[in-house]
Amino acid sequence: MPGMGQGLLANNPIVVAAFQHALRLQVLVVGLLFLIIFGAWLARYVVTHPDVVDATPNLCTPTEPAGRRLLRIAFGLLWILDGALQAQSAMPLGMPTQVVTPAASTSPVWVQNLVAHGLTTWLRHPIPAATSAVWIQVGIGVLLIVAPRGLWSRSAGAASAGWALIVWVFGEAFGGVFAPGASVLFGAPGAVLVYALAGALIALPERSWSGGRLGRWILGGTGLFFVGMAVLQAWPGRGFWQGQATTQATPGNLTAMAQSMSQTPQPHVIAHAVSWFAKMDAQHGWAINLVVVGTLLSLGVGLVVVAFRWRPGMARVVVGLTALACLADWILVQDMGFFGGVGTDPNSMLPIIFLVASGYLACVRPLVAPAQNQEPSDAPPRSVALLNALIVVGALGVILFGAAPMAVAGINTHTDPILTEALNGDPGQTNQPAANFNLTDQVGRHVSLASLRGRAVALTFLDPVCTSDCPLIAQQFRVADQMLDPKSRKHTVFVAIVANPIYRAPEFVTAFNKQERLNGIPNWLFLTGSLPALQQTWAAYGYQVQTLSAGAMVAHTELAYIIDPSGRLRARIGSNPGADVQTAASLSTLLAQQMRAVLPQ
Amino acid sequence: MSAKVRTLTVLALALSVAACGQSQPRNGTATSTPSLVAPLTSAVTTATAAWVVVPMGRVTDPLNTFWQLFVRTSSQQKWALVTPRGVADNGGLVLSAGQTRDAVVGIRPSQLLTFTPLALTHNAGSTFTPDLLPAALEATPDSLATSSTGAAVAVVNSGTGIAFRRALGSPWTTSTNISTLGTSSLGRRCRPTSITSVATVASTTYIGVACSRPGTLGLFELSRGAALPVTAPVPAGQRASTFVIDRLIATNNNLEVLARSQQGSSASYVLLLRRASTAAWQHASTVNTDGSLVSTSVASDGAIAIVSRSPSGEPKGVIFRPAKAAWVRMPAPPRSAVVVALVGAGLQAIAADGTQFRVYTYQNANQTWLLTQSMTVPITYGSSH
Repeated sequence: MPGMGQGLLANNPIVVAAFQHALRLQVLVVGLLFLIIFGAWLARYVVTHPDVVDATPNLCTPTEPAGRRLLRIAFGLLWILDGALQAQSAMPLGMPTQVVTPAASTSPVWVQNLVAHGLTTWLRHPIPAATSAVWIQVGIGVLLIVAPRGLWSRSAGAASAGWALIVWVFGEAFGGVFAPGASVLFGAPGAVLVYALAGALIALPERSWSGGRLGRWILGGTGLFFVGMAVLQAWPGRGFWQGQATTQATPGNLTAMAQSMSQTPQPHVIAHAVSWFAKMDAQHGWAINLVVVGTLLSLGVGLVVVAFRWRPGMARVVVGLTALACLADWILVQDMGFFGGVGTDPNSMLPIIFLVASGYLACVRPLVAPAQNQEPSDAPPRSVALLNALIVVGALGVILFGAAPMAVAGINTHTDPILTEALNGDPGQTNQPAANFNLTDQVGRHVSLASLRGRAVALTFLDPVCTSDCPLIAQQFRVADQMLDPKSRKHTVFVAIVANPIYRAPEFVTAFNKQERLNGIPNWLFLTGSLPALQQTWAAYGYQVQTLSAGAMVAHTELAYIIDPSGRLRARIGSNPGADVQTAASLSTLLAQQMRAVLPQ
Repeated sequence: MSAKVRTLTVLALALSVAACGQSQPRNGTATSTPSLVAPLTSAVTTATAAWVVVPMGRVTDPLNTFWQLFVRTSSQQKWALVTPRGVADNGGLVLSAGQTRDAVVGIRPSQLLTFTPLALTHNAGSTFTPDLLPAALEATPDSLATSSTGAAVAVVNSGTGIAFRRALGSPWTTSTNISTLGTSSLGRRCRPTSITSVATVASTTYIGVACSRPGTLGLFELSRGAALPVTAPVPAGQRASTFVIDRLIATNNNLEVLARSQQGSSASYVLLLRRASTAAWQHASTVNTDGSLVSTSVASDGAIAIVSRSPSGEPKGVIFRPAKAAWVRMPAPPRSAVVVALVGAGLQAIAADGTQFRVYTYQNANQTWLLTQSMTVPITYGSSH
């Protein structure tokens, strides 16, 4: 019915089923890829070392700087976790509507426009985009873990940084740094910005890790960041000094965040902890913010002091306290980040802990250059190196396996039909004679279905004075026509029949065509006729038209019919254009698909 | 202080400065800006019928606001719902009532509709014939004027143009527009911001505009497709005010002009009468008002009523000017009253609240409003989403 349009829910069963089906197939492909890689390695290993088949490969070389190794493995695991989170069933539709759009909603208009531009690809192709994100992130994670040294390892760091920046801009709307109310407690300046920093550190030449200087920069930089965030947290008028005086009062930002997080579907014990913190902050908002500011300031100053005047004991204490504070925030405020069905990462506190720990390790266990002419006694066996190399190739393959469909999706401007199918159901396939009609077109010519024999017909019913859905459906008919190649267009006709018993005169048809810029389209017909002729046609197609109460639009069913060149009805398509542009655009792709299917090859 | 410490201090200060940019914007102080055009909520009384146009439903949600048309004929003495069916009217209704029981209703386009369905009646809304204006009708109560021959003139395209047709069934053509009006001598003095109203009086079409320059009343006469300035007198004390012509009323072959003048925060209404036979102006009267305008009501005998609302939202008062008499301030109408209909020699306040339509008749004896009719209007919520 026009006027009863609805948006798609993130857990739409048709989209979820399609996403899970695509993922299952892709898991098989990726599994097969690694099976082939392992098989190749095993075959070569058995041929060259038949007596040591049970050797356990050591994937890491012990001489890699400890701080770098921690970053590499920790962020590799985080990327794999993020990839797994991207595989949640609500992601294809939930990611744009429940994650990205809300994240950008309070940012300036230019940020919203930039994010919307990036989101268009995802919205047009939700299944390929969601599966791509899974494999790109899993691939980067695996690559980080299995490539410990050398060019591939540094490339993995660069890939991690690059992808993280893309996610930071288009997935996190710059981490909300341009929005009011940003706070390090909530994740500002964005978890993936820490991923990007870690990736950049991994991508540095290994000699950068010598002498502990890099470690001190990491600690000092983090300390400075904490000091800045403390100032931001303490800034008056930003809503962090208030709790919630009464249940009717507007809560402070921190209370509101904790209250919101406690409502997220999650294990009871965590919900209880977050809920407890929300109550505490509601009652003692000022005091808690004072503690938060004090903690941030103390830790920030401590890290800066440690960075400039290295004292191992003090460094251990400051880094340990930083980790504790971050953990507390991660659980009590950030709610671990990944619950609720559309969580994309564990938020910023775990990455910050790993970053600080990496800085500490870089100071206490810096890279020591091997003595000249000394053979590295712990170099991996050749077979292990070969396995590493093959796994690196496999990981690269996984990244490409994700990136390629996303690249293709980026250049394909036609929205996938899955969205309209999700809203309207699968097209009902049939094969029966289509009912004839005898009406007149927009220029007064008599048109019957029989007169259109030899051409494929896309038929629908439109109210020329409709204010909502009918213009959108007409536009999708126009776009579907444009999607056909010139030869097919000669053998197709797009037909609408008036679905209004009152405003049905030819001048309304003409005005509608002008409004929708349909006048110049040679294979577009908008038919009308006497009320009995229209009623007869509506009835023949099982079409319901109802005049509602005063002031309301005429209600009618929203269906399109595909009739083949021999006059047989082949498909019934729900034509509700939905509540967003992409769902409407999806209808045109489906119409074009169905029209091609009934044209002779 | 070492160079490193200085660098860190500068960076910390920079972060603090960035924090300033992060602070939440303060709530702006609400200021009341007077509406540039008169609300669509209105009433028209002719010799044979009284009509009211009111918004009903959930009026804070445009897609669930459904405008309704009610009529009270002199024979029936009861209000009846006569809103044309078959088209969504969330954009509002504009009524042009004839002297008999005929009327034309413009159903303003909303959402994706860009042209204006019309509905014609010759029997006070018992039946309607569909018609079409191929442009968007302006949202003012006098944006459509029709004659018994089917000739019509309309303010279109957000108050920037005039469309007209010579007779029923003949094509609509564009006439003048606001740019052209602005180039005339009157237009240069007035600098019009929008066309607000049209009226046809004894085969002459008048165009009223909102002026952005003080001291000028923007009134034009349409002659053979061209707009000619009509010099209207401005009251002596109001030469520093800017004027918006809210209503143009045809009264027994005379033109009545209801203009709102604004000077600072004070507003007043000026009512002028132009005799068609002599083209002479007669300055009728001026009345001060405050609060925001809720509705205007006019009658073919020259009577006028204005409902204004206080900033708190309650109807503040009704200012009534009987035909050829002085302005009278009436007692405040009941809560949710939005328009006053001029019925015979009396007044009826119309309250539209959700689906409830109530009529309160003014009792001269005890100076109160008495509930005399109520009805429930069927509304299909959600039908325009």
